[in-house]
Amino acid sequence: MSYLLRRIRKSRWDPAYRNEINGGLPGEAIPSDCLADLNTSYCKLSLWQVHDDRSNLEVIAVAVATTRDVAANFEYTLIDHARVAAIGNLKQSEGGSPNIQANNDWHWDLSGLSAQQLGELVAVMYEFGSPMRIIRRDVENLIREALQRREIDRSLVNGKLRAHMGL
Amino acid sequence: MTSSTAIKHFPIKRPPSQLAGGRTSQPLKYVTFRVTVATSQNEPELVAESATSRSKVSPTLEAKVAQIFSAARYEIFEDGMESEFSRGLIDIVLRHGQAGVLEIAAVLKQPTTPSPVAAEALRWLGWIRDPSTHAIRQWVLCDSLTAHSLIVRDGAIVGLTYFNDPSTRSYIVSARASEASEALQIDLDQLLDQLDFPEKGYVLSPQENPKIQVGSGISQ
Repeated sequence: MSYLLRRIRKSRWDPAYRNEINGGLPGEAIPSDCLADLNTSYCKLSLWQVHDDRSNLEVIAVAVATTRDVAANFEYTLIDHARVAAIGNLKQSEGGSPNIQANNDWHWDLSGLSAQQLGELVAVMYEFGSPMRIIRRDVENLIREALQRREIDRSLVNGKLRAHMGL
Repeated sequence: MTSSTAIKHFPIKRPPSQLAGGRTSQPLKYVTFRVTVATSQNEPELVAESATSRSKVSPTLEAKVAQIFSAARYEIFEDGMESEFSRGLIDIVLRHGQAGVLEIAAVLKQPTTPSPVAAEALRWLGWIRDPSTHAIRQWVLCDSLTAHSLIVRDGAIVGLTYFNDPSTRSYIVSARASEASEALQIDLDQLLDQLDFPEKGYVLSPQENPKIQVGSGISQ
């Protein structure tokens, strides 16, 4: 069993967040703000495959983090591959990160998505996802390590990030 | 330590915008502004050690801060991505210094400020590298660890991970003892670990890579 990774803002998925909104959302309602972490384009949602032993987690974190403007905490959630596959058309596709291997081997699209299916995905992520955080210091170090090992193409790293980190 | 006592330790100086011939209305670049302030022969007048009053805040500054917070109400924030809000916030801090941070702190305290916007502000207040506002930003971040809103406390924790200053440790330990959220307890432990073991995970020291200062964000 493998996982699919989606970058999120962890606090949006904290159940306690429900209580802060207009005096609290009813029952077990899921905050609509969670949808902010699931922006689709052409009805496709980008996801990254993480091995069951999570051995490629840091590689993917770097791949995604190097598309950002600045080095920041990397917050993500992992969902069982099978649960996502049950929602819609999940197929492997080429990613757009500076890591070519990650783009070719581990990037997936949940495609042809309807709003209803996106709602199903939010529910699955909310119930079964495991929000996590890699702190900025470690993200920066992982990026430098990846550059040293030539895992990522420096020229494809976000220009603002290169400038901020002096890469 | 409460905010009312903590702030007494910070010298709050009147910014140039409140001095005769104030410069902030001119379209100066940050560097020029910094050099001007840093090399000025005239020490800006002290307001008071414990000044928290906004009565002397420049109307321009107050309006500017209110405007960026208002415009951000419907902005969607992503970690690691600049936004209109982050650019505006950084601009205010670098142009107006301590007065700018104080004005931001005042807006953070307003109940009408949406917690996600306040949290985003705290993240960037921690991320900025600006020695002249370091102390006042530290106070704002540490004070926010006790905010009622979980989202705001999370923003303060993230801001403090970026801030990465061991002198915040006692505030974090105190916040950890009273934090009700299990998720934030874990985040606070992670933050303490970062402060206690700063070398952990470092790949290159600044000496090995002179192009970069470890942990740097925006620097002057």
